[in-house]
Order: sequence, then structure tokens, then C-alpha cells
Amino acid sequence: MSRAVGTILMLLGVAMLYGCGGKSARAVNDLNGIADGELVRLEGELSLHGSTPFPTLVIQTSTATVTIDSRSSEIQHELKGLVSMRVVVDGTVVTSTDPTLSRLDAVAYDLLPLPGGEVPIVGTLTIEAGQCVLTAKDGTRYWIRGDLVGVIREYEGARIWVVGAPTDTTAAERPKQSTPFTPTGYGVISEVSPSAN
Amino acid sequence: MHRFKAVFLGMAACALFAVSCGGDDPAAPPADPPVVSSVSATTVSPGDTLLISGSRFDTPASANRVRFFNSLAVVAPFAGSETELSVVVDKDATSGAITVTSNALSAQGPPLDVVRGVGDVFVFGGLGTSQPLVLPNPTATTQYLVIPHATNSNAPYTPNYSYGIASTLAPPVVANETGSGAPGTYTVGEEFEAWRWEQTRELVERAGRPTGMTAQRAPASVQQTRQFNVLKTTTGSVLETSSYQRVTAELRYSGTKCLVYSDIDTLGSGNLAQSDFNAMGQAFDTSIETTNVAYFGGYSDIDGNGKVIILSTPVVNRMTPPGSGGFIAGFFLSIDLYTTPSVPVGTTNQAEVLYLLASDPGSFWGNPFPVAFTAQENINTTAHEHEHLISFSRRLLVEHGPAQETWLEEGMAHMAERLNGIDTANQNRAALYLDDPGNISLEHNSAPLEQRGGIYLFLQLMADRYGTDILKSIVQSKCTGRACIQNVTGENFYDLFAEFLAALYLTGRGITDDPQFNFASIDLADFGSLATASHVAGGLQVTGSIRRTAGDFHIFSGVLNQETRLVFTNPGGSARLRQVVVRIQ
Repeated sequence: MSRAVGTILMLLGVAMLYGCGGKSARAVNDLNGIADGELVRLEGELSLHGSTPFPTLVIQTSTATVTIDSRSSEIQHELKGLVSMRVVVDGTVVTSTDPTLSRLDAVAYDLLPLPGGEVPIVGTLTIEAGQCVLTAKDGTRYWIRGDLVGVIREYEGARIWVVGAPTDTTAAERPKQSTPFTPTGYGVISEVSPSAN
Repeated sequence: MHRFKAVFLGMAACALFAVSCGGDDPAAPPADPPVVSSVSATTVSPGDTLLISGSRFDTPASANRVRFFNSLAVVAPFAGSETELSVVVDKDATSGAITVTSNALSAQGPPLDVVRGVGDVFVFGGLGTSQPLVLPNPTATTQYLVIPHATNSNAPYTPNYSYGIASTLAPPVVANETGSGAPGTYTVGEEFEAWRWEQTRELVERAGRPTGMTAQRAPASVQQTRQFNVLKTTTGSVLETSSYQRVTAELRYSGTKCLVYSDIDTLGSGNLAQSDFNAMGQAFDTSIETTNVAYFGGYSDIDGNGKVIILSTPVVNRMTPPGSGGFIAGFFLSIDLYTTPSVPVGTTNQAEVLYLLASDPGSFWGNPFPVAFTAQENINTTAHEHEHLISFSRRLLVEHGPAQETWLEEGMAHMAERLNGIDTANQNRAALYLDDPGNISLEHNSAPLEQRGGIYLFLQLMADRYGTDILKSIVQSKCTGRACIQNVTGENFYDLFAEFLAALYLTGRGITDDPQFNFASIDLADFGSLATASHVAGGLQVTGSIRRTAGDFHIFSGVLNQETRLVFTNPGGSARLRQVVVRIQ
């Protein structure tokens, strides 16, 4: 498989589970002066601040640290699973009389490429005849191979992301209609994917 | 032409034809690179002075750069001319050709053999076959410790990044003989009390004075029975009233610095006794509060009673599902320092409150918590959660900065445990970390147990090296995460992390007495054993995976008078792989 084809496959495989891009959101860097209920878009790195067991989920934009408190427990849980990743998050602003307590009620998010330009592929992990398969939301199936398969396969049923590259192989044991793929990194978004339930 | 004259004429030309002096003139002839003709020695050690002879070096000498093969070993000469450079061999220098860069053009010099002794630690940044690490084996028992670790602060810390180490053995290549050869001291006491009141006033001005504040401020109004809003969920929003349970509690201890309350939701038997509440209160009054303030600084007094409230309630017990591997021992909730209407009624208690377990020998509320265990655990947890109270109130109410990143915040609280003489939990967590240090990022923000063990050890080493005052400096700042560590030490975080990894192996073994690599206040042998893998140089390729701010430990045994050549690979490229290397035998 050529590198170009592989890249196209990677791009197609980027799932937008709660994808931004529907109702238009205004891109901002912080919540200062924004009216309650306005739909905005923030870009930055997800992080946790404060002490356990109730750390605060924040997005660190280029200029501010903004609290994310989604009314959707599923989105909140998944975003917590993505801490240290760069994302774009859409949400409505919830203001407070104390500006330090204003927050974003996240309604959608997308993963952004890693610093090296690698595009994460998001999907649900299954084990088929002993082989590890990641199925992206668009239906593309990736046969997970390489050094990391041993640890990744422990997350059967989970929603995960991987970065890496398609692999050339003629191996006969390839699961049907799958693209061999060797991850160089991965992360677990949600231990058990809702779609797997 | 003299250099001065050339510069003058160049400047004059630029003044007249400023538009054309952008540096991209395609008609300008390319400058000539420097030439390295000889060096004063071909066998050197870090710290030696090397004289490099050649031509077309930049002046002043400090404008040039000399790389000692390793991409991390780049230094500026301290003296020289257009034909000669004097440079100190960098601490991370490795065997191979030197490269001199002058006026953005580079020239390679002769290869150097870099000689090191046992215990000499350095960091190597080369990747691929073009940048091998060449290590001599001067004895039959020579061994090198190699610690690949990931240092890309922009890469996520949750994934594992692949790495490979290929090793070969080869006779030494004979080098071509081209040459001849602390923050201020905090006073606990009246000054501290005055500070607490001052900060409380500031908080009230900022967040608004809540209804009933005046009545709450009167010390005489200590309530024998009062109600608290206790967070009952680990997943709901702390700003939603529905996330809280309203409980009634009775005062069981009234001391000089704390009030201990107990939920009236009690068992038929097996509850904490009055002596247990007394012990909790007295531990805080006589020891914990003083220790924490001394090391971490003062804290707020939002309710103006001069005391911290310690509440034992089964709501905390119920937060841990039955049969869980770990348990929530207690917490501090920052929302308690906010006043209404900034936060909804039914959330904040508008007081400094630490929430602790109730005893439950029969697992009535989900998990077994025997009386004696719970009583001691609550004292330990008080030391931990009180640090969170100090940190949050100082950073948000005084510094007006964000809350600390969780990975560092929890590490600080585990330091509080240590400073209060509470060691067992830290030892258990550190043992988890040492068992698989490549698989947990020191910056893992969910702060699982093994991460806590790691960050505790890291902070302990930093405190040993730079003094415990760094803890207060971290609390009393706006910085978060890595920036805080760099601020208080003056060193790059990943350089410190590399030294920390080396210390995990070297401490207490007598390989080096350098305090950078030896814990002064703890014996790491008490914290479990470090996982290492042993290999014979020239054997099978080593592969593995590590997380950001994590490292694996490999020991390579060499063969007498052969060179061990290591080639490192990082298939994904995202890890920014580096290797700590030290000859250990």
C-alpha cells in the first residue's frame, strides 16, 4: 500500500464521536465577557486541576484555563479520558457571579492531531478470532499489529484512539476487510464503548 | 579586510539600501563553512578543556557552537579567535566526531573518545544508525545502565510510545591522531493568624459576603449540632445542589485549631469512640496543622472561626463501591471556600472542611472499615487533605491563579504525609511505581496510585536537593505543573526527571556519592525494588514502550576491550526519546 493511500485512510478514519461542526460556534480563547448560554468553541489541551477525587476538568487554551463541566456525563467522562490531548470543544457558556467559576457545558468535541502531525483514529476495539480490530465510526476496520498490540488488546470493547501507520503485509490471518495498522501510540477514551453495550 | 571595516561597510550599505538587506539576496555568494584542522586531544573526559584549531571561526568565540557528537552536548567556547577555540567538554559528550558551527555553517572535526568513570551519569539524545552511542568496555565486568525515557511535553501522557535498542559489539576504533594530545523563613504564630484574617477579608470582598456571615464569625457560636452539605458523587457536578447530601453532625471535639464533627447517621455498634475523636483533634491541634503550615504556608479562614472543621461521615464511605481495589479515604472540596451567590445554596459550607470516613466494621455502608483502622486512617488523611486546603486557598484566594495540576497537587499532599511522619501509604504506592516505571507517567493527571508513588519520590528528591522550602514556593505561586518545578529549582523539568530516574537506581548503592543521585532523607530500599531488565551487548534487539515522563531501566553487560554500540529508535517519533546512561560497573 502506498503511503499516500495510507494517509487518506487515516484521515477518513478520524471519527467525530461528538463531532464539532454542526450548529456554528464562535471560536474564543476564554469566557471573559461572553453571555450566559452562548455557544462557543475552544481549542487547547485538556487537563485536570485540583485534588482528587474531584479534580476539575479544564481546557488550557493559548491564553486561559477554562473549566469544562458538561451536563452530559458521557461527554464529561470521555473528555476526562482524553486529558493531555489537544481538542476542540463546543459548548454553551455558564456564567457565575464569580468569574473564576464560569464554565463550559460541553456538547461536542473533536480530537486534534498530535504534535508530530499524527492524526488519531478513534474507534471501538474488538477481538476477532484472536486478532485485534479497531472499527472507526465510518466503518473502516484496522487490524492492529506491532509491539503495542499486547497492551491494546486488553481494552476489548473500549473506545480508544491510535496513531501509527498502515502496514504492508500478505499475512493470511488478516481479519476480513481490514487494513493492517501498526500503532505507535494509543489512548483509552472510554473503557467500555456505549456502542458495545 | 579587517573584520571591523567589513562590518562598518556592511552597515553603511544596509543604511543606504535597507530594502535589499533582508539576507535572502540570491546574488550573494554563499559563505564558506569553518574548517577544523586539529584538536588538542582525541581522548577526553567531561570537564576537560579542548583546544580546536582551524579557520573561519566566528568571533567572539562564544558565537560558535561545538557539539560533542551527542545532540544534547552542545556548548559555546569560552575563548578563542578566528583560528582557535577553547571549549569545555560537555557533561553529556559522547564518543564520535565533534561538529563546529560558525555563522550557521557547520564543519565536522576529528572523532573523540570520551572516557568516563563508574557512576558518571549523562543523557544521550541520538536516534538511528547515524547516531550510535559508543561505550567502551575497559573491564571484563563493565555494565551500563540505560534508561530510555520520553520527554515530549506536547505529546499526550496516556499512550505508550514504542522504542528500540539495538546493540552490537565491535573492536574500538582508534581515533585519528590529528592533534597533540531559599526562600525566606515563615513564622508560625501571630503573623500567620493575622494573615488568615487578612485573606478572609480579601475573599469576602471578592466573592461577596454571604448571608449570616457575621453570626458565623463569632467564635462563641460553635454549634454543638450543625448541618453540612456533603458531596455524594464522584461523577456529578460540584456546582449542582443535587450532587450533595445534607447531613446533620454533632460536635465531638473542640480544640485550638479544629472542630471535629461526627455525622449522626451512626451504626448500632462499631462507631468511632470519643477517644478516637479526641485523638484526631489533638493530632491536628498539636502536630499536623503546625507541620503543614511550616512546610506549605498559611491558609484561609473563610468562616472566621480560626479553626478547620473535620467531619466524619458515612457519605464518604458510600463513595467507594463495595469490593473496589482502593477506597476514597476523604477529601477537601474547594467549593466550601466560595460563598453564595457565587455558588448555589446547598453546595458550599462556607467553611474550611475536611471530610473523612466513618468506621464501619460490618460493611453496612459498602466496605469494611474497622474502628482502629479508621481512626488512624482519618489522622493520616487529615494531613493529606489539609495540604489541599492550604494549596487551594493560597493559590486561588491570594495568588489569584488556577488550582494546581492534579498530578503535582497530589504529590504535594503525599509530601505532607511524609513530613507528618506517615510513611506506609507512600511506601506502598512507590513500590507500585518502581515495579513498572515505564508504564506510568509522572504527569498522569488522574493520579492513580502508582503515579502518586512516583511523584512523591520525585518531590522527595527535589526537597532533598533544593530544600523543603521549595514546597512552600510551589504552593505560593500561580504556576502549574512542570513550570512550578522549573521555577523553584531553576532547572529544566526533563533534565531533573532524567536525574530522578538515575537516582532511582543509583541511590544507596555506593556507585556515586553525588547528591543529585542519592536520596538524603529516605532509604529507597524501604519502598520496594526497581524493575530492571538485563541484556548482553550484541544480543537480541530490545524493544519496549514507555509513556511521557516515564522510563524503562535496562542494564547492558559488555565484553572486555570491545565497544558496545547502541542504536536507539522511536518508531512513532512523538516521544522525544532520550536515554540516561551511566556506567555502573
